[in-house]
Amino acid sequence: MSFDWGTAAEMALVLMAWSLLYRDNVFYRVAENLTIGWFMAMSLVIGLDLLRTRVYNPLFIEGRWLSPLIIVTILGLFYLLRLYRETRWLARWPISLMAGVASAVAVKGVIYAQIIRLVTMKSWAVGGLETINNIIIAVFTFTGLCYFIFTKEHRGVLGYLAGFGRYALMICFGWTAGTYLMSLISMSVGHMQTLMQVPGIYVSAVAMIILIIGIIYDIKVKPKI
Amino acid sequence: MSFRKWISERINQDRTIFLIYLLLIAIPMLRPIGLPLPIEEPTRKAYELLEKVPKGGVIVLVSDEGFPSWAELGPGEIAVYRHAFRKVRQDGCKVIMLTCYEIAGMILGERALSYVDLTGLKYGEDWVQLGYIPGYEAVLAAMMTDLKSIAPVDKFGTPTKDIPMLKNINSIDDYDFLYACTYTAMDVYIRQWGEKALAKGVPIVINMLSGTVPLAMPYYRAGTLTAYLNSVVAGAGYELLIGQPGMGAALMDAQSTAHILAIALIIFVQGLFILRLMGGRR
Repeated sequence: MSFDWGTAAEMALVLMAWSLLYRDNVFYRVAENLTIGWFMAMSLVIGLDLLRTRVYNPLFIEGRWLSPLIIVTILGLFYLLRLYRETRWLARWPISLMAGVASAVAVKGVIYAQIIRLVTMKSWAVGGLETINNIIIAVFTFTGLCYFIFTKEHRGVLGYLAGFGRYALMICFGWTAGTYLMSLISMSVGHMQTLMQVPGIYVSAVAMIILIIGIIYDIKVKPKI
Repeated sequence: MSFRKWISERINQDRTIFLIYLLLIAIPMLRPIGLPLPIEEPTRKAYELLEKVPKGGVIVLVSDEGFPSWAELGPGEIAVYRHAFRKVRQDGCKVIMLTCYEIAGMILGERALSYVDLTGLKYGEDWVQLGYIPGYEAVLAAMMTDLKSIAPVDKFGTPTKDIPMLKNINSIDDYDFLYACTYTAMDVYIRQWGEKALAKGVPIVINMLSGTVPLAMPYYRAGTLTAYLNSVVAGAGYELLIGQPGMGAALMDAQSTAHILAIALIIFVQGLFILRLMGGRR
């Protein structure tokens, strides 16, 4: 079986990135720049390929000049007009169009899926813990909304509700932050699995030797410099 | 010199925690502990929904994950791909793959596909890769009404109108299963697919980071999200359900030990803080 150089290189980059946990070093910076450079190159290649298949071919090979594609292409080219001071204002057109379309598309979906469906769901009182969960959702949503009422001073009943809503929001943010931490742990665990198998284990051994040399250098040599 | 002073001067706390953490996740890889692997109810539901896709049904797989999330979402993505293509073999189902968030999703979708045995399956008749279609939410909305308008060509430049499999597939009326793998906001899929999919009875399954699961719960309860896969935990469970244990199951021990360390550190630090408060020192 041949040596898997691709996985070895991938794991070398992972360990070079992790070396930042010890301290900033040249391996980390090489890995950082390589990753960014590779991703930019990949994005450029795929982006150019998209332009070839979705714009160049229909317009110049198939000759579909009288299709809506030409309008989109022209608007897309307007982005480049930002480079010249005199024509910079034209670059706002595609940006405005994109922002408008994105907002309209989002709002259209929000009304049913994220508002109507949630407040009209039939399973509010299903029994046991589910009912308690549903009550918590309703109370947290209502009091959370109260917190964001800025047209009336938070006093009296509204003050109590907004105060409770503040705690509800803090609980949610805390929960979200905690689960994101767990997500980050999962990411490193995934890489560790590959590091503990051939060829990752060889890369780990080399990295360990370099780390030990680095630690000895830091203890014995660096303080004297 | 007091012990506390010696510790604070000689030992870097951050490095020590990182070292303990790396050791804790490395050891279970070399010597599995064999902690029990529960299969969550939404994972089982996702499996059953895909299993119930009728003969000749259309399965849409949207890969919108990013490179940093692969370790967490990859096991579930691979398991779903394997299951979907098993349905292609067994029941003549059709698979449509696409990406609309960022290019990385397409690359990782193909990586998941590399774990699938495609021998005997024909591109264009059994499955199709539409590649990266820029536009994200607008694409998710448009694919419900007119898929070919947003994907005039597939990833390889073949016009979609010439692809035999897509002759009669163009909108939600033709889909039987909607799946997305995302490492960002999952509510985008709900708001663009939810209404129409619910009306047609098409299930929506989303493979997401565990960090976004709390945000998905209200939609799951309301039924707009039919089922979800909770990161690597669900990935491991799904692997067991399809009978192909893979990287997910192996990761669970390490993940559990890492979580135990995180909880222990939280308790330790909070305990120390409370002790200091009780001692009158802040």
